[in-house]
Amino acid sequence: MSLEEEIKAMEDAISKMVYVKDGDYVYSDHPNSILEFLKHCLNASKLLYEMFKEKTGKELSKVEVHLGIAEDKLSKARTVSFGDVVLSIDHNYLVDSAKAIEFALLLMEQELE
Amino acid sequence: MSKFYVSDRWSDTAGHFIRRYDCGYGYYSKPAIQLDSPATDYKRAYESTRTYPCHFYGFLVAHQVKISGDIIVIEGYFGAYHGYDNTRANFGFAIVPSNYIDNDTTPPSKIIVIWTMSRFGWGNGSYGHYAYVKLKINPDNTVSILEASPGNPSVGYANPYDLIGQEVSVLFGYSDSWTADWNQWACARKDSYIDLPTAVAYTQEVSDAFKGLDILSRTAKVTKIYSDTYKGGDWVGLGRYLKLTDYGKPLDYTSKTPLKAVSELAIPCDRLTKGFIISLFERVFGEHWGVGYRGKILRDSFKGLDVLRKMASMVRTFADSGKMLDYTSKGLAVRKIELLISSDKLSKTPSHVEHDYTAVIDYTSKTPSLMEEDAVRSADVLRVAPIKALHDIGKLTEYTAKSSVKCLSDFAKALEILSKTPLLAWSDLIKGVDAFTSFASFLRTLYDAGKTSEYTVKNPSKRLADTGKTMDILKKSTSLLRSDYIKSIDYMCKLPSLKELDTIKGIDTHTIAPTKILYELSIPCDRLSKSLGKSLLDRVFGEWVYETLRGKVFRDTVKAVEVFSKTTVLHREYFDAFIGSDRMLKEFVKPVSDLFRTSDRLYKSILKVFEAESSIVGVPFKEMAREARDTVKALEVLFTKDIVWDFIEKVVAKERPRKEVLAYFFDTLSTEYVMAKGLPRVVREAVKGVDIASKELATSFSDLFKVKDLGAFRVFIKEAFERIFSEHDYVRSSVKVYRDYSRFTDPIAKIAFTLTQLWTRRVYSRPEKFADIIEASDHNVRVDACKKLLDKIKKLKEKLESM
Repeated sequence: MSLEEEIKAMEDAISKMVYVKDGDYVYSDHPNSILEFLKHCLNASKLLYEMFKEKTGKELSKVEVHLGIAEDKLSKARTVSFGDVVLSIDHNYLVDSAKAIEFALLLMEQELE
Repeated sequence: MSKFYVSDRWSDTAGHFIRRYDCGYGYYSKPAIQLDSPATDYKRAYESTRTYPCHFYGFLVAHQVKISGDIIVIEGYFGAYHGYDNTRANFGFAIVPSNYIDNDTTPPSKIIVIWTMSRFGWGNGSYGHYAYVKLKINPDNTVSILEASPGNPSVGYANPYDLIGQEVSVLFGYSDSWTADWNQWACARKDSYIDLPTAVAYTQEVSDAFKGLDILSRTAKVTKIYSDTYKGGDWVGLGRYLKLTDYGKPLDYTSKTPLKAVSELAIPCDRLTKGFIISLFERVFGEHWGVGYRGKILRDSFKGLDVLRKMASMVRTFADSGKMLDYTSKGLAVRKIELLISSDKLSKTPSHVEHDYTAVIDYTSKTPSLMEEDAVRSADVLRVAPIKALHDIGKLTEYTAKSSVKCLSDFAKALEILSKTPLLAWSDLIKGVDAFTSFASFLRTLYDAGKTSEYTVKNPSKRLADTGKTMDILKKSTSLLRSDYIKSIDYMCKLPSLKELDTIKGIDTHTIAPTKILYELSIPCDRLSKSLGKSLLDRVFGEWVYETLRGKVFRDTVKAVEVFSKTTVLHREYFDAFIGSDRMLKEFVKPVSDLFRTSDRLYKSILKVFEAESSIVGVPFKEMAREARDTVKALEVLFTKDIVWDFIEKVVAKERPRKEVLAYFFDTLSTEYVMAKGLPRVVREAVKGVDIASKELATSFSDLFKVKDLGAFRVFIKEAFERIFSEHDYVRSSVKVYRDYSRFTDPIAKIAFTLTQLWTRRVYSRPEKFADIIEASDHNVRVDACKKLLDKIKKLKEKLESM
């Protein structure tokens, strides 16, 4: 998928997300929509990094490390189904991968400033 | 119930009367019965000639009808007239035994219902007024108005209950209470009726009904009448009043009760199954905590026992249900027999009608089964319902049995899981949940220590092997020492010092001493290793033992310190050996003397060692003690002299490590006192000490003893200290566990990190006391973070594209 398509996919995933409050039911869509978003987000970040390398001629090892971490975490994150118990790891893999992606993006931004 | 309409006897224009009560007036004349008067479809009883009071005049609506129930309904459109005014105009129904119709005798039992026109605001001589009443004949010989519209009519009665079971006749007409000829009348519309709870219609009617019918049609009609009798008659001839419907209720109830019981049984059974599965589920997925696992297993075992107990209770309940089923089937049989008896009695009722019925029923039994089915429909329903109920019970029983089997099966699985759990526990512990990632050091410690369970076997072996190595080294060291001593002695012999000569005498002692000390050292070290191993074992297989562990760690630390003090004694002995050497004095005396000063305890330990050694070498204790005292005195003297300061200056370069060494000793020894005051400080200081030990102390000591003159001694010291530090490393790892644990509690409390500048929380699985869940806010933060990440990507994309 192209970067534009990945962004479109991310927007679609965000449109499925809902805010919840205490006492609401936890639906499988809640973590799944986040996971779907982050997968596209990781792909988009990779494409951005390729663009970054092309434009700047630089390679940032830390960005690669963080993208690798994000990929590793996302590969472990599972898609939950109705009836599954949402475990702490389901949540943590998502926030960990999101954090790694954020780092990668931040490093590229800093390099461009 | 059977409705008797005015129209049924429309053409009967005979007037009749009954005596309402005795008042001195006799019957005078019967009323005239007029059709379509005062209007079309109205039938009227009219006082064309004078009718006397105390009587009720009218026409028959029903005649010779046997009442079998206690509910009577009257409904229709009526009107009345009285020559005086509407306060006297009335209409009504009179129900009396048939033989009191046109009989100027007050009937012993009767019911007379009267509507007075003025009471309801109806005009005199008007008609078409709707009237409805529902009466109930009570066993206490009273009549109640159950329903009435537009309002309650007047109801007079006498022994009404006796009417039930009798042949009665119903007159519609007016009540005359006045002797004059008032041209009084009462009319009823054609469709007005009285609904009576009849057992059967009159014999004559049946006979008439049969006339001209073929046998099949006749049978059908009889069947219908018979069926209607069952349906409409609450009463049949069992004794006098036997409610067939009452059979239905208990039968229905009885047949449903087991169903209900089984159904109710199924619910707890299902809950039990679910509850047990949930508990297993919780255990498998909700707990990944190795330390608390044992307790959890035990707890779940108790749950299992509880389930077993409940299962037993359930089985017992089920058995009770079986008894109930048995009882029910017997109850049904009894009911069936009673039903047959009642039917039999019904057939034997000494009534002409029943006689005919019996004949017909007899015939009916020989007719095609279709007729039989119709004839016994109601009874059949009663028979079929229990069978169906039993069938349903069978299904539910099967279900319950399967549920029970499932329960047992699940329980067996659970037991299997329980048996596997200890094996799985380690696997789960190592694999862990995410919580353990922040606890990696602990895992690594356990894992590296010998892959958990093997550790406990290997570690003591390793310790023993290490001890053996140490002993081996010790032997070699001793040999070397001896060699070095000889060299030193050779050197010292050249010095004209009596003290040195005296020291030579003690060479043997000193050569043996290191062996003994190291040997003694190996014992506490070994004990230490075992204790730590045991601590880990406790930690792995026992309950939450951190409190114990902490205490144990520091107890063992103190032991190690004691070992240190003994080692220090060794230094002193060598100091004694080389006391005459300025070089030694400069390089070595100061640290050793400082060590002495650190604690009285050290001094006492020295004395103790001297005492122990005296028994080995045969040197009188007093002499050795004196030597020690003299040594201390000598040290004090030395420190008072300038030469000492010279020495101190020379060791300035080593000031820092030395201080750290001393601080380590001091802090570690202090722990003994602090222990009584509370563990936190102990932990803090121990960690501090351990850090120092691991980073600098070893180097300090190593450097300290890198002196040419102490060649062999250096080897020995190095071995001794390495050993001690290795033990301390061990202690450190345990302390680190605690420290990491302390840190670990912080994330639990809410240590988090930011995600796109939003506070984000990681969630940890852990023992119940730190229970944590994914909260709504956690999810919402993720959503916000995703949105921000998307913005970031878009901005970065724009920035890169603009380059």
